[in-house]
Amino acid sequence: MNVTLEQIAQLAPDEKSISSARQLLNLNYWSGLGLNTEAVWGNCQGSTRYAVRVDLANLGQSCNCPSRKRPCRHTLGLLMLLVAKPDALPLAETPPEVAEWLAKRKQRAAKQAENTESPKKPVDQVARQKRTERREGRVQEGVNQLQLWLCDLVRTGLGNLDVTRDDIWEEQARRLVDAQAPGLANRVRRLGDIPRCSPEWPQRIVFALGELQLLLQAYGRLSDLSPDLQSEIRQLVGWTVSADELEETGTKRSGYWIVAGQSEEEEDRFRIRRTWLQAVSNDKSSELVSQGSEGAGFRIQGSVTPQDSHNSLSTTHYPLSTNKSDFSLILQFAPGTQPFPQNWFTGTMFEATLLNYPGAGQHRAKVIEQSDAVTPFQGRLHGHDRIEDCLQSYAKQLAKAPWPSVAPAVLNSVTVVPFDGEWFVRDQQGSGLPIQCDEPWRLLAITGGKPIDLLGEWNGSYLVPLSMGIDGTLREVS
Amino acid sequence: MNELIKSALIGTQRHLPPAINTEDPAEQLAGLRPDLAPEELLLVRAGMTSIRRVAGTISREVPPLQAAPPESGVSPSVRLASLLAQAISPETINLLPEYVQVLQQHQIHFPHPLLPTVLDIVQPQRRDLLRPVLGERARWIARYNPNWNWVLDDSSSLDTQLIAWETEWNEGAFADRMQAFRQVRTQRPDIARDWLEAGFSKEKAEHRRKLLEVMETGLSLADLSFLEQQIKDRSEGVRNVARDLLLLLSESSISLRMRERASSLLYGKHDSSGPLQLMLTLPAEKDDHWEQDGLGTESTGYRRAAVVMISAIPTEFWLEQFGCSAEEFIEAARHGDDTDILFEGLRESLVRFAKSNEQGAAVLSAYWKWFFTVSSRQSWDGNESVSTTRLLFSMMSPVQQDQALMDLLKNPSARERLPFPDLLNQRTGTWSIELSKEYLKTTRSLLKSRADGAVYRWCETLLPAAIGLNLECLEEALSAWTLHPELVQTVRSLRIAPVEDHLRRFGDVLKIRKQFHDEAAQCAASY
Repeated sequence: MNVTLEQIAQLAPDEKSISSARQLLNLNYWSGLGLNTEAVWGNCQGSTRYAVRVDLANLGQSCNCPSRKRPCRHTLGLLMLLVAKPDALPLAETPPEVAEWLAKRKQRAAKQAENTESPKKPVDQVARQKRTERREGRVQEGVNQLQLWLCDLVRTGLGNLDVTRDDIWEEQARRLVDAQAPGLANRVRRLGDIPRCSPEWPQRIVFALGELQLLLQAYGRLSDLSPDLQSEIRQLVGWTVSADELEETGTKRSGYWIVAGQSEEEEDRFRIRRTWLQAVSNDKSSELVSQGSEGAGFRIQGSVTPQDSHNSLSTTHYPLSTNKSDFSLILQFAPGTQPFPQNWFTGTMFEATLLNYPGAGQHRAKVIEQSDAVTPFQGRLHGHDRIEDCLQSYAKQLAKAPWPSVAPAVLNSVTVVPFDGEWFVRDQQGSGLPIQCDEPWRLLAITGGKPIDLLGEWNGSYLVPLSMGIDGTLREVS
Repeated sequence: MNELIKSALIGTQRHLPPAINTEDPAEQLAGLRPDLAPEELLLVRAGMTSIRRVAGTISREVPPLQAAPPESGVSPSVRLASLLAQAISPETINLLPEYVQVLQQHQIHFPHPLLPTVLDIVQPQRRDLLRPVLGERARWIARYNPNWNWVLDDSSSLDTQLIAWETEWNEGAFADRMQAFRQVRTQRPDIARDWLEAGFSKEKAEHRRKLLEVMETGLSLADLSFLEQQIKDRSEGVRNVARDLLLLLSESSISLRMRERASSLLYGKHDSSGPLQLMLTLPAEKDDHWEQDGLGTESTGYRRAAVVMISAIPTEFWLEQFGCSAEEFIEAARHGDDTDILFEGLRESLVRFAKSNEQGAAVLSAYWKWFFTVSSRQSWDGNESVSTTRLLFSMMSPVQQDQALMDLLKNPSARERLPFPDLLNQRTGTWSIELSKEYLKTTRSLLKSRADGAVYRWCETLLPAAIGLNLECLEEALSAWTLHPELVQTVRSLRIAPVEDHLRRFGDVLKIRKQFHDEAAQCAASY
């Protein structure tokens, strides 16, 4: 796996870890360094000597330091060393302890795969049905109670929510967790952020409660809805899709995927990472070709015939969608500062089979098979040239499932513009969409008012830029 | 307010929701659910309105932005930008002068992603340093951010800024007014003085004093008349500041009076056998301006009046008066009757005229030599030796600072008693080879021969040294370090490695500096 210093920085739990790791680029800290196609390893001198290892197949890490932050600075330092000073890492046979660690990892992965692939014990359908009915009963109780609570709130009026005690939301959320409806619980918890947040809070809280009501109404007449919408609503309420269910109802898709952008947020002691993958386009005007040998970068070229491209491809070519909003979302969760189980880097591309979750949005997916070769993506993301088209696409999505959530949006050839005290992206037609990011001036400094392709998360109010395509490469915004 | 929202806020029990609008298709849908409670129905209607609002979001017309012009300089590589980013951190910000010099040498423009960080820098010296390497992109982006106007040299942006500052000056709180005044005084001293003149007497005494202090920036003969008026201010604080400023203007009446007094204040006594001696004689009678010129009252006495007089005269005056060199003058002062008074006055004069008097450098060097000799004799004991060292060091040129540091490094008492990390931090820019070698020699010897607290204290000098050491000495600096055996033992037993950590950081910074030089050369070569 080829990684860059920027990608290693993306792995780090915080800025401080990056600067601490940078100090470890000094070889005086290291002993017993080694590298081969499977792993990189070394001993780092901290207050004592730490054994650091990285599995190069998936950047799985191990370090026996006591740090709570993962990946720790020693692991990041070793990866930085691999990128910045590859000559310092001698090619070597895997030491026994590293080999043992790798073997265990492989065993675990094989066991997981076996669990997925091997015929499972026959499911006791009766017991399963009973369990489902029992849970449905509890969720329904929770929904009924929530409905009563909402009616009470509206009956007595929402106008004084800014002076009511803050824990009413948390209290209600806990009841919903007990009723096994965590999706509803999270929605209620987020409602608590609205009172006092802005002068428009009264209108915002009424609308947010209204959207919650629509969800309750939909849940109440689930059987009248399409299977996709049923699945979507159940997931919004908090039903998880089990592995079996996903296997049965999910849609498998194989092909090349671009890691188009990533975002991270914290919720209830967990970090949630959203990785947006875009299927590589297969239309005639933009064929996928490799640049010679295996492992080299990919590029979208304009005038290559399918025949030519087949000849030059070193891997199998899959038919892929040309839909502009053809995104898949990989959701990952990590407690506290623990690392995410797997890492993908913005601006890279890989071949994989994804299993899309059922649902009206059909964004969420799980990677069930991935090739080892990860290459830098050179080219342009598929997106909208006109902001109006992008907004229309979002409206259509809302028409299918009317619960606004973040949606990926790629805007091609837009400029970043400060205007009237706000920040916008502007298309060639002069339409602007508000953006919100931590460092808009940096974005402007990098782009210099020139058109870029921008991937962001649109939440119905503003776009949060995640990555930008500039000078033929795709890179993170932050 | 929308009736539906009003009903939700007041409560349906007190304010019924509005009737369903049968002409609205979405409302019609809601009308199909007569089974719902009024509150449920209200929320369904609110939910539908919300979704319709989000789905109906329209874009806003935004004017285009003129794209930035191409850069005329060499573009930095990603690696160079990353190395530069490390230098902008507070710990190593002193590397900036060196890095900027390298960029300038290779005609490399500042990396675009780092522009917002450096454009936010407020220190005038750093701004002056950065201006030549910022490039076209910086000038382009600065047009969109009023705080970055300092990058632009066109008068139109300054005029716009002046209007904003004037508004602050007229309407802002005192802190904002001071800020605006300070900015204008830097850019257009005449305008700032006009502002002050317009309503100076109406300001509070404390504010008058603070505002007057700012006038040292951009001080010129044009300020003379205004300052002469303030010497009669009703507040003593204001009078003192006005007097200090007038002393910096050689044409002011107070400067002329002080020079006249000084011409008869000191005289040289030449014994045929001994060296020249400077003797001090105060005028027998106080003149009319004595108290107004700050020479004190009866209570402050003879000593203070003498110090004030000497401090009011630029040091080169004495060299002309006695027709001697700086060394000869200091030597003569040493042999006089009132050495303490003379040196105190001279020190204050050096401080007062440090910015405006280049010729003071020779006296400063001679003064330092005398001070070094006296302090060494007293083993650098006492707080005064520390404070005077800091003071003299702060006025020295880099060449003088290097020489002073060499003197101090060779003196064991000075090494132990003086705040070396502070002094080294004050020495911005690259050190001379001689100083670099002396520092390495001293540090190696110390780490090898001692294992006490002095070693740990000395380790604090390693980071400023890594920033300042001449890269000609890189190899010498990075060769293996031998530590005192007890030091190694302590480290092992306590499982702490402060000395090693400092040495590692020292090596890292030096290597990064070298990498920066190499990478910049490579960028320029591949352009």
